Amino acid sequence: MTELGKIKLVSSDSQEFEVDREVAAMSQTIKNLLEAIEDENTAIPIENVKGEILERVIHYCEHHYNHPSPKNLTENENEYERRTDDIEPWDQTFCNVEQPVLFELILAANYLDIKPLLDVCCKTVANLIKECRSPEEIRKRFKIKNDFTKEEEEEIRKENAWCLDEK
Amino acid sequence: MNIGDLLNIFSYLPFQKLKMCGLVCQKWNRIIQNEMLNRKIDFTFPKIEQKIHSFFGNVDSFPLQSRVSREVIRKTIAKSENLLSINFTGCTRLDEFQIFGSICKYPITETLQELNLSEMQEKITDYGFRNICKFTSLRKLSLATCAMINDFHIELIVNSCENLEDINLDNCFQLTDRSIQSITSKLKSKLKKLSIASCPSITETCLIYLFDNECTSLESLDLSNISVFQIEGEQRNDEKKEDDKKKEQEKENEKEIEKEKENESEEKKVIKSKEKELEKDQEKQQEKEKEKEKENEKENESENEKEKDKDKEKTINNNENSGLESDFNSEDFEMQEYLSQILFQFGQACNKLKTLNLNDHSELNESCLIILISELTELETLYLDGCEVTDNLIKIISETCPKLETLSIQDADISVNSLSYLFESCECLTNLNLNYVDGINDDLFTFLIEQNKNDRAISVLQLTANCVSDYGVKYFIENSCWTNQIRELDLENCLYLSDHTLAFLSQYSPQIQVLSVSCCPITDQGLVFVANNCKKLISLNINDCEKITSKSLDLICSQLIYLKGLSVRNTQMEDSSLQLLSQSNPYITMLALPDCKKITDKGLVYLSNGCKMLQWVDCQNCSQITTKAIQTLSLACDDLQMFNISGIPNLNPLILSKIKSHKFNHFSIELDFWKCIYEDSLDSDDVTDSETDSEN
Repeated sequence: MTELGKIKLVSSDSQEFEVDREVAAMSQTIKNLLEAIEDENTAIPIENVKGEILERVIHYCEHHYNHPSPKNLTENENEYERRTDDIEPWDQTFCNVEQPVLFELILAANYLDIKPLLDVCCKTVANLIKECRSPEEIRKRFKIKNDFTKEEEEEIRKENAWCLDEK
Repeated sequence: MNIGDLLNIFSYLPFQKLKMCGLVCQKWNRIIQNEMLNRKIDFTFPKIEQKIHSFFGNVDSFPLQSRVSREVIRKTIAKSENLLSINFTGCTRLDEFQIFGSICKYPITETLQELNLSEMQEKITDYGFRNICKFTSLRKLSLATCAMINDFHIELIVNSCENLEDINLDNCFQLTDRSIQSITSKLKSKLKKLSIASCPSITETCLIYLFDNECTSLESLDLSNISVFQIEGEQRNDEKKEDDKKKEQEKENEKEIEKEKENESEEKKVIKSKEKELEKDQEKQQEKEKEKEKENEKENESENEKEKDKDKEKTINNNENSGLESDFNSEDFEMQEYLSQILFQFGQACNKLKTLNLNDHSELNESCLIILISELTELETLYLDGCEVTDNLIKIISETCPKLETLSIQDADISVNSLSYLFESCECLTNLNLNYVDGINDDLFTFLIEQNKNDRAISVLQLTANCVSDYGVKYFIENSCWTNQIRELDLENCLYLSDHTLAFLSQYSPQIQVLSVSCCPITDQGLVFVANNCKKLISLNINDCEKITSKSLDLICSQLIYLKGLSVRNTQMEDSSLQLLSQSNPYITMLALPDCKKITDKGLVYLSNGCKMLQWVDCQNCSQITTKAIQTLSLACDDLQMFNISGIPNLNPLILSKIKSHKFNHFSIELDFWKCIYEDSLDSDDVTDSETDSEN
């Protein structure tokens, strides 16, 4: 039996986590599920998320539930140059993880519909891309294969010669 | 990763980075081409970020000429659908016919929401401004430095573009309060951002228009560097005197013009007389507009006049009582009272303001500032450099603005204790500029640590000429859990710091990106720590650190591979370090070597082999350099836009002028007898050895 006010989440690899209901409701997906379920004791399966990642997500939600940001966080949808230098310190440490983990976090945030977590992870990846000074550096960092032919690559480069940073 | 997530990530990237991502793989290219690039296009030159040169000290506004040609514009725009945003900043190789010729067509005229024409200077004229009116969906418009714009154009534009919410008119010197009247009365509460920095004819009346027309949604206002607010009251009293003065001035101007015509060569004659005509027209316009303004203001300010009468009575009473007040002082008092009332009403009406820039407004006294800021509870960014900032004001700021993130109070005269209140209340503070503030010492760090309730982390800290010492820095670094958040640190002229600080920094804050220790008593030892540990540095300023030798400079140049800006004025910099730089860092864009007497041609040749992306080079007084090396470097670096070679003797002006006309970029050369500033651009289609000048 779970405590009052807590619910159980089960990851794809069958790890179980007990979480405050309010904290779990930060995920829109879980929130919707909770409204549909009658028996509060049933464990909610989170099919697409491994235990290791789910644990981190819960950690994120718990921190942000207990420490709401004093800043005005409404993203201005019409901002044409969105900032990436305003990630809170705690979030920065949270996102300072291996790249595969970071990508898994993005997938999880997507599936669980936790917008702030999704945004902060995407901002972090954007910052990593910003640090790279050439397409080759980006490929190296994110282990992406170059699937252009030489001709294709040359053509795109020519078209963009006036604004590319590299030679 | 799915497309939605990729789009989310890409939405944070600037245009040029997106183009780079388009070259990574087919999938990214498809997404970027289809989803992103055709909605928002940016033709500007990949510019040097401000943070790279902001701690360099003597960099004027950086010239931003873009290489883009009309062909590229045409092609790019033709490919796009539903264009939302275009940025033409600095595309001065184009003229307005080319620009508007390519964008003034359906559906762009319907969809375009953002248009940026800053730094286009005299290229945009009446024709261009009238064409802007066709873009009825415009929300964001920047015409900074488009000097030909006048009040009439503004009226045309705001009457057609009724959805404007963000307008930038910095440096548009012809504009008067009339423009603000048009803007505010037409846009009213739609107006969110307004920037009129350095517009000399704007006065405090603009604030009256802002609150009279209920621009209550205003979020951002930049009034920096506007000439001292003129007070209408004085002018009304001294109307005749001023008119006489103006007439005298005009006569004098005309005399000066005649004299200059006699003295100068024909070309310059033509240019100067055109400028004077512009000025004359401007003055005539201003006179007309001031008359109109006065009429308008008489209607608007009936209330203020009544209050002023009351104040006059007060001042008269005070005069009688004190018996010492001169006319000047009572006028002064009146002026402050008048300003206070305006500021109060403005603050009340526009209390949602998030960003306010009042740099260089020394005419506003402490009580004016307090009255204004007390109303602005939503402030996140506040610039008060050069203003009368006192301890009281800091207290008021602490009490009123809990959301403050950025505070700049350069040159203020406060005691460090008042910062304690600031840190206690402003939990979001991340950027703090205390350059040249008397009274700052190590207590600053004590307060930063003590008042850190909610894990706020300072990331930009500017402490030029403050009395902070190694102990203070050590205490801060050892006790703050967030020293890994410091990104930009300006310690110029902190004479009590030493190599120890650099040691702490390198150990605890290796993520630092921008650092200035100019004029600090540091030696090779300290710099070696930095070179070995602060690998993320993108900008480093070690000007006037005379004890630095190639021992550490070699390491700086070879280890800091992400460095984009390096300033080593007046150090023992040698060619060997430049060789290492050219081997390790092909991306460096700004290099300042003034007064480095040991640099010779060899060094420049190394640079031309390895550092071809240089945009800004300063070799002032590097007396061993010859014309040959200058030529070599200029030809090697396609993007070189500023090359300061003043003070170098025995240069060959003929060769230099050939270089200038060969490259379509800016050359800043100061020779003993000949001063050249911005070079005119050549036609893009035949860039070879032509020496023709394209402009008048």
